[in-house]
Amino acid sequence: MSSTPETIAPPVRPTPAAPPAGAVQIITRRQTVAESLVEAWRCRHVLWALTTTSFTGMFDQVLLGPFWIPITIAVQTLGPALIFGAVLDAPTPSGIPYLLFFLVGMTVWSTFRRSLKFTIRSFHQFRRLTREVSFPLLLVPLAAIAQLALEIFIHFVFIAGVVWYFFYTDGVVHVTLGPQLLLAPVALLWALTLAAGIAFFTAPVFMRARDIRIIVRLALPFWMFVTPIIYPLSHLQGGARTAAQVNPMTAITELFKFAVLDRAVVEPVALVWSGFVTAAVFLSGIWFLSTVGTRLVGVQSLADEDEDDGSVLV
Amino acid sequence: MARFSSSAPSPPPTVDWRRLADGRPRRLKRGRHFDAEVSDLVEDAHRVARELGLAVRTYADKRDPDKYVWFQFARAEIGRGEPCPCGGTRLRRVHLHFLACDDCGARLILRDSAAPPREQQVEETLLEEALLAEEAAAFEEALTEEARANERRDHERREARRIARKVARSASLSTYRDVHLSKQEVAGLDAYVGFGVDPIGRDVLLVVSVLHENGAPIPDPASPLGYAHRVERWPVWRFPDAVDTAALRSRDWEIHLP
Ligand SMILES: [Zn+2]
Repeated sequence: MSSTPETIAPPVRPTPAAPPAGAVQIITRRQTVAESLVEAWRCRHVLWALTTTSFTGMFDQVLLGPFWIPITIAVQTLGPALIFGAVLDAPTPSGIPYLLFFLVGMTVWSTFRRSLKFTIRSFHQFRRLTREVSFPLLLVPLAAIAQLALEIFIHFVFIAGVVWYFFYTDGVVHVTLGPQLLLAPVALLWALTLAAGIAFFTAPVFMRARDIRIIVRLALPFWMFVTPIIYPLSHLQGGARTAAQVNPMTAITELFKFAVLDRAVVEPVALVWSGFVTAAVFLSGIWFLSTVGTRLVGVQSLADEDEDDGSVLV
Repeated sequence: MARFSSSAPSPPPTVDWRRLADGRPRRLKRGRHFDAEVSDLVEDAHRVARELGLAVRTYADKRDPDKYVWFQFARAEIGRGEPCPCGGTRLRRVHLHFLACDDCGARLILRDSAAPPREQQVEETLLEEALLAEEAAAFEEALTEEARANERRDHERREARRIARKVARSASLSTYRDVHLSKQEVAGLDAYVGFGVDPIGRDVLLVVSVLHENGAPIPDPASPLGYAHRVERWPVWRFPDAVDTAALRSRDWEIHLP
């Protein structure tokens, strides 16, 4: 184009006058973290609508529908369990069959990994809705996580099945039925909270930079390797164990294993550290979402969109 | 089951609007929360909002617009520059379409608020085109001659729908006030350049491209230009020292839209 706005832009004018007193002012004031949480609680019914939409959307034109969930879990756990356990002879804490050890670890990891996977496209999935009606944005990634409830339940069914199998074949019950079992949902909720905190950053960024999806996809296998899923934490000593415990997922995984198998390395310092990291990521994620996130998702204001305009002229 | 909505009147909506008019968004599902046609329910919501002295914003969920519909009530609907019904003039933006009054805390719906951001439109159009192309290629292989004819008709219908969507989505000039435009005199370019005032009351330079389909402009009777168009704006209010808009206004322009 030969004519740009500059060519029709004539000479300089004096400094513009201040807006007249009494004129209507539209101001942008970001919500605080506490306000975001209160607002999300007020609109918690929206979470159900978003979750059911997400969940049914996941099986659009999928003939087997939710039956894919157990098939996926079986493929993702049985295959690697055979390779690491039977072929590579990976160690387990005293007397626990490798299949069970791996399945229990994978329940936590898979919950965390799938949460990160589902949340990353969540704002993109609800991009029209978020621009039409006003509700707290943090419900969108949370809905993507909530749709995993069925999957988590099926994981527990698998654990029960494997425990029963070893009782049937060896006559040994590998789980301890005791109050420590109550820590299992605590550990899973903890993993989901950490995933949600990360999602509050990744999901809005995905709206402007699809690269974030590739980064997460590349980082996850490495992260899994430094989380005691394939090997027991007790197998690491000294500096290696300390290094592993810097990873907030380590304490969460160990807590879950302690709850289900009653055998794990649960160290208070590691738990406190993981709790601190999880809280920091979750709260700063809410802050990010209510400040930068609203702009990335494109639900806040015309003024926000204008910030991009300098570069979008045809 | 077939529905004969055109001949048989749908049952009256039976939604307890007073309970839902609390400012929070609600999704209602046809068959569960109401039995009427979605359009009837939307009409009913607006009627109730008027009766209660409120305003309501509705959105039929794109996934299943005949089944799911969202409602969000607010204290009032106001235009740009208008104060809250309480007289409050400090309005906090909480969403593209919603404001909150700093004085009384009421939620307000902003009339004629923003069109979706441009990159989103482009991305969706490209995706739709890619999907259409993929579909067409896949079907081409398998279809018999008769089926091909059906497919052509379907394709034409899809094309018509796609063009209709393109028109509907184009960022309209009617969003701006006091628009001055002149046709761009460069060969082959169907565009207008000028300036206007955006909904917030700020000066913007405008480049208006007329949308084409198969080489011809797409007619749109609702558009002030008579054709579907896309508006690019340049935030001249950011450079108050560089542009004298008063001088701009005194120029000769081919088109002036108040
Ligand atoms: Zn007010």
